[in-house]
Parts: sequence; structure tokens; C-alpha cells
Amino acid sequence: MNQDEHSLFDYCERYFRHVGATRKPGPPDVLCVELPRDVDKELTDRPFYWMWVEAMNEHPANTVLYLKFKPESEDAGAPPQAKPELVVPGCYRMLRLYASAKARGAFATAYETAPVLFPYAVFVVKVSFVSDRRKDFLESYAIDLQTLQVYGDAMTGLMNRTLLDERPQHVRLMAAPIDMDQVFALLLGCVRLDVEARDHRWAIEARQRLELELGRLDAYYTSLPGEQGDSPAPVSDIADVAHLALSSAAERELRKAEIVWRTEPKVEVRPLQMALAYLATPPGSGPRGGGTSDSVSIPAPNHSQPPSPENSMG
Amino acid sequence: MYTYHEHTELRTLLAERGDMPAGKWSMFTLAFEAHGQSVSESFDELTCLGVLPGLVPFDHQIKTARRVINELHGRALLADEVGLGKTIEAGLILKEYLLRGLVKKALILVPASLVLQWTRELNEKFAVSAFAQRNEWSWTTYDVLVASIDTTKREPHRSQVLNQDWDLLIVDEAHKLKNSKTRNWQIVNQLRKKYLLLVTATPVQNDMRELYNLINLLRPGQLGNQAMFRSAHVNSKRVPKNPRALRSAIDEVMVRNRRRDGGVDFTERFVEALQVQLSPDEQGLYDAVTEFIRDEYVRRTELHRSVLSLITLQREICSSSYAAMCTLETMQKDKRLTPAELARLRDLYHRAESVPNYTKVNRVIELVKEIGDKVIIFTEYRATQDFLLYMLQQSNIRAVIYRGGYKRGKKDWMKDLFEHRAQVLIATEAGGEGINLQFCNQVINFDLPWNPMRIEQRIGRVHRLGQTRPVHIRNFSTVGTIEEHMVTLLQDKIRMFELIIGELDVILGPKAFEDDLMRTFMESRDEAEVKARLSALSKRVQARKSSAGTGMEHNA
Repeated sequence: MNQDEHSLFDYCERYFRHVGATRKPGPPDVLCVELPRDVDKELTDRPFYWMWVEAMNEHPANTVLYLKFKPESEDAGAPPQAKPELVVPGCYRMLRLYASAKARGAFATAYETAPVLFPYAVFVVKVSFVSDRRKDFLESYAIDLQTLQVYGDAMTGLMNRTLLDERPQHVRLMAAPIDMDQVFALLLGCVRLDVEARDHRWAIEARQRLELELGRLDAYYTSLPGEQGDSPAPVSDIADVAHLALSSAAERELRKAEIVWRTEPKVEVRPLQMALAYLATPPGSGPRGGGTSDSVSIPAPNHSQPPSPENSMG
Repeated sequence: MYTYHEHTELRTLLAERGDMPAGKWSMFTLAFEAHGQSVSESFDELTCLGVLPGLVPFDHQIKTARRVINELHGRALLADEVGLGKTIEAGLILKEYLLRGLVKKALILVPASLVLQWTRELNEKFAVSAFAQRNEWSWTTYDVLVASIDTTKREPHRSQVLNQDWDLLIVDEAHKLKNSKTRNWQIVNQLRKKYLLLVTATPVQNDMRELYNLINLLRPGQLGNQAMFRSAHVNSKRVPKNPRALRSAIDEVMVRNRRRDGGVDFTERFVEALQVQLSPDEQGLYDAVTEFIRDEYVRRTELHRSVLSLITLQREICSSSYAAMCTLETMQKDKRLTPAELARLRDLYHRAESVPNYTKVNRVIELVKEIGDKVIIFTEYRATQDFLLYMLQQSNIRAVIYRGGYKRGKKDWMKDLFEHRAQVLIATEAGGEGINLQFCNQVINFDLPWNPMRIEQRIGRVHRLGQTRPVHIRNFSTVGTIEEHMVTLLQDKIRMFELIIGELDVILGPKAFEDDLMRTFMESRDEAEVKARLSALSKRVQARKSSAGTGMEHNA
């Protein structure tokens, strides 16, 4: 397998292991797995089938997938109930698998192994710069729930650590009052600061383009009165089309709305995942309390006045 | 400078769980990796190229998609020449916007015959879950919908479509929007859409106003108002005032790739004229009908009456006596006919009815047997089509019919039957538009249309990207008829079958060419005059061919 095939295989193998699918015997470069029903529902879009199964109280055999990652892999080993399926980037099965992982992995609670652990709220946030094009940044933050100190790029460090799903024995967890509204507000405030610090030439360009387009549109519609005659000869299709046509004013408003919709620069911030992680040291390299280069500490916002979810900058 | 939007669905979700973020860390990291896969890390790069399971796009298609997204900001006229894969370009753009989350709701308006083809291609080549519109509920049920434009513009569908916002609208065969007074144009104009792609190989057919109307849908005011457009750009109906200025104006909204630009290797094309000598009975009928048409043409022109039925009859009699019979029958119903005229028409009808053999049809049957492979036979007339089907069946050759009037399911079925079960597809022009038949490389033109664009559309069905074998085109030429002149003119003098597809509209201006032909055939007193006039016509075309480099289309 080449690198791409291998990383897809590795991802799928981990996914199936973690959702409790049973791996069946097969060639080493193939994943033959029997799916629990809840996973099956997420990986194949057949709601009517499941509606029927459940309404009729049927108990069909579990679905078996036979996933190949390179075209030349053997089909011979596939069990009779499974159709060999080639998995490549962007294929239907991978799209479903990613969607399933996103839904199942939105939240987590995790523990390191150490005598004393401190609580952190870990967030994954997608920041998007949107006009008629789009650029995304996947950011991650960890908030120390005792000090409310915020650490950036948290997942880079955490992906290299061993975190457990269960609380280890003989471990002391430091308590912290957790007010989720406060934590979210702190996160969003922090993201906003980071966003402001980024290069926003894209937004300036989009704004200029928007003004230009609106100007051209105005010039065009202003020039229209007095424009008459020159319509093409009637054809059979147009006999009663006049009443269907938009008035010039309505058309102008519609085109204007479309231009704003398409071109106006927007920043979208969407927290995607949140974990409560009990860690021995902060994410990143520095010792806890010592601060790291990308740590930020900002005052907690006033709860009675949370930041408005939509407002204008600049 | 920008508006700022915070989406806090995650907070709501957590609150629903009693503020307990329960879940496994292992799944959390898998989800993090999955989110990483759907991030657009750059404004400019095409992320879709890494996730197209069943497709390797050509360079010109990738460049086009990039240009439309990055420079034309998602509103563009895709006007590649026939066979260069405009559908693929539109699909790439759709896929990229879907991946970037800039498009969720997309509508693809196409001729009815192409609904299933588009739906299939989007699903198979682009892994886009596209659905064919079937009923009133489809509009709100599916995110990516392929629909017939004719259905869409009718109630109750029209209101449903207009009540929604569409992130992307794609209109295939967009030359059907050339007239701003039609329902087609009106519905596209009224739809609220963020991005708009108009797809056509022939943005101008007869008149530069057609181009204006298309561009006004994309970007009103790009070419000024109509009066400004006329004064700045229009010399005559088909000739621009300043090609360079027009080119620069439409460059901001149009992409046109040409075959001659290279980068794509098309298979060879072999063209052959097959001469057929009519039997004495058939020749007698042809001469009698032609004489009648000439007499009537002069008389009707003097009386300023329509000559349309005469033109039709003249072309039908070149196709088959069977095709001419329908028009001869209809003409007899004209109440303005004198008894003598009526008698003459009846006589012609009976002569057509009693033709004992059909030389051209017999030759086709022989040829199909010789070829021994899949063949498409094109004719312009349904009567000829039915007759050919009957005669092929009599010879134990499996054939299917493909025509414009069929519903889309039937068209798709016929195409599948041809691909898997039948040897011959007999298609009319209307049926030929847009379908891809690259699995076949043999074309027989049983009759030739007088509009060269339609000949181009015929060839474009098979000689396009995806064709792996040389393409053989055979034109039937019946000795001693107008058809012989037509084949000589188009094949030998204009050498249109060797022209690069897409150049023809530049050179001829299809409607003018058709009119010229009719006048030549009708107004010439004898064969010598026909030849002289056709020779003049072909010289004119040659001259335009050599100056096409400065023509509007070329520059566009």
C-alpha cells in the first residue's frame, strides 16, 4: 500500500475498532468487518429499510463490509454476503465514516496517568474566512479550569500523549467549579482575539469587490429608463410571459441581495468538539503554571453580557 | 471590514447532555482527524482534486474550474467547444463548492433528455449525492437536484423553485436562454442564486443579442444596457464592432476552450461520401416533386406567402419518399389550392406511395451489415426514422429509436438498449442533443441537415472525450439531387467534416447559411446555375474561414 492507502486503512481500522465492529478474517490489506446495527445505520443511508426492520420487528443478520484500499487487492476472500468495495479518498464510504466519527467524537472525557491531574476544557474550533471563496483554520484550545488560562494549538501536544477513557485508579483529580457558559464565552473571546490578529487582506479585497459590483449594478439599472424597443421578435413560448417577468426594481433588489450574499466578507467561528481532559501538565511543553509561548490569559467575560453571536467588526 | 458570526450549536448540544462532555478520547481524536480532512487550507487550491474517486480531469478542465472559482467568482459562461467536457468542468466547480461548504443547495437545469445522465455522472464521477427531480416534493427534499428546465418553469414547480434560495444554479444547453422574453430566461432570471454557471457550446447562434442576454443573467451591466451594447459592440447582427473590446468585456464572465488549443488528443476522424443512384421510379418522383416545388416557390414568393412547407418538402424528398408523403398529405388540406394544384399534389402523393423499392434504405442495410459494429444513423425526419426501423427489423438487425419527444426515462432506456442490446440507434436531431455515445464510433448521416451546427452536434455525440477509437462518418449522397450538391459543398468544398468542431459557427453563421442554400436551390434555373451559386457560396465561406481569426467568436 502507498502512503495514502495506508493512512486510509489505518483510519478505518481504528474507527471500526473503536465503534465495536468485529473484524473478520481476510487478507492483511483488506478490512472485513461486521457492523453493529447503530454503526450500520450511520455508514449506509437507508432509513426506510431500518424503519421497516424496526416496524416489523425483524432481526436481519449484521451487515459485513469488505473494504479494499488498493484496486488489485483480492476479492476472493470476500464472504458471500459482502460486496468488495474499493475505499479511496472522497468515496461515499469514507464520507459516511468521517460524518459518523464527527458525530460520535463531538465530546469526550479523558485522563492522563499521573498521581495528580488538573482539569482542562479542550476545544476544537473551525474558523472560516468566507466571501465568494473560503479558507478554514482548524484551531484547538485548552482552558485550564482552575486558572482560566488558555493554551493555543492544544491538540498538537495532546495527540502525542496517552489519554485514557477511564479514570485510572489511585489518581487525585483536582476539582474546579465548571461553568460551561463561562468556559464557552472565554473560548469565543479568545478565538476572536486570534482572528483579529490574522491577516485580513482577503476581507479588504472582498469588500472592495462588493462595492465595485454594487456600483456597476447601480450604474446599469440607473441607465435603464428610456431603454425601449429592441426586444426580440415574439416566439411561441412567450405569449403570456410578460406577467411573469420581474419588474426592473425587483430585479435590481434581487441581484443586489445575491451580490451581498456571495461577496460580503464573513468570519465564521464554529466550535466543533469539546473534551474535559484531566492532565498532569498543560498541553504543550511548558510546566503547568509556567506559561507557554502560545498561552493566553484573559479576564472571564461578564455573564450577564455574553458576546453577541453576530455583529460587525471594523 | 467583515461580519463576525459565532455558531454555538456545540454549546446547545452540550446543554442537552446536562453539560457532561461524555465520550471516548479515541473517538474524539478520530473526529479531529475527520474535521481536518474537510478544511480548506487555502483560498485558491482545488481541494476536490484529491477526492474524486472515479475521475482524472484534463488540464483545461482543472484550469477552467480554478478560473471560475478564483477569478470569475462563481458566475460564468462555460462555452467550451463540443466534446471538451463542459459537464466535467461544471461538476468540478460544484464539487469544490460543496467541499468548501459554500454550496449546500444546488439546482442543475437541463433538457429533459439529460436529467438522468447528469444525475448519474454527478453520483458516479464526483460522488455528489444528486437526485433527479420527480415530483413536487423533490424541490425541498434534496440538496442537489437535477431537473428538466421545461418542468421547472411550469406550475406548481415554478413557485416551489422560486420560493427557495439556491447556492448554485447550473443551466446546461444554456443557448436555450438566448431570448430574454422566454419563460426559460425569465425563470433563470428570477431564481435567487449565489453562483450561476451557464453551459453551452454555442453562446451565439444567430444574433449577438443572444450573447448579451446570457451575460446579463450572469452579471447585469457587464456589457452596459442594450443601447450601450449595440453602440459599443454591434456592427451587424453577427459582426462585432471591435472584437478586441468585446473579448475583453466577456472575458470576465466566459471561459471557452477550443480543440485546437491542444492538450487533449482526439481520435482520428474519417469521412466518406456514399453515392447512391436512385431507381428510375424514385428519380422520376424526385424530379416531379422538385419541379412542383420550384413552380410553387416562384408563385408563393410573388404572392408573399409562406414557403416553409416547400422547404420542408424539398428536404424530405431528399431523405425518403416516405418522409415526403406526410407533407404532401398535409399540403392537400390547404383550402386555397386550385383544383389543378390539388390534382398535382394527389398525383405526387400516389407516386410516392407506389415507389416499389428504396435504394437508399437498402444501401444502409447493406452498410450496417458490412460494419458489423454499433452504428448511429441520423435522420432529420421521424417518418424516415420509423421507416428505417421497420426496414432494419425486416432484415433482422436490432435497432432502437431515439427522438426528442420521448420522456427522459424512455430516452435513457433507449440509450441503454443501444449500448447493451441493439446494433443500431436511429436518432433525430432533437434526440441527439447532449447525449454521450462514445461507445460507438460509426455514424451514418442518412440525410444532412442544412444547418451546419446540427451536423456538428451529431458528430459531437461520438467524437468527444472518452472516444477511444477512430470515428467513421458516412454521408449519403443521392446522385442527381440537391443532396448531392449539399454533400459536395459541405464535405469537399467547405471541408466541414475536417474542420475543428466549434469553428463552424464562426465561419458560417448557421441561419444565414441555411437561407443562402434555400435561395440557391429554389431560384436557380438549371444545374449550372446551382453549381455556380454554390461555388460562390463556398468561396465566401473560404474567405470567412481565413479571416475567422479576427471574428468575434474567435476572439471570444
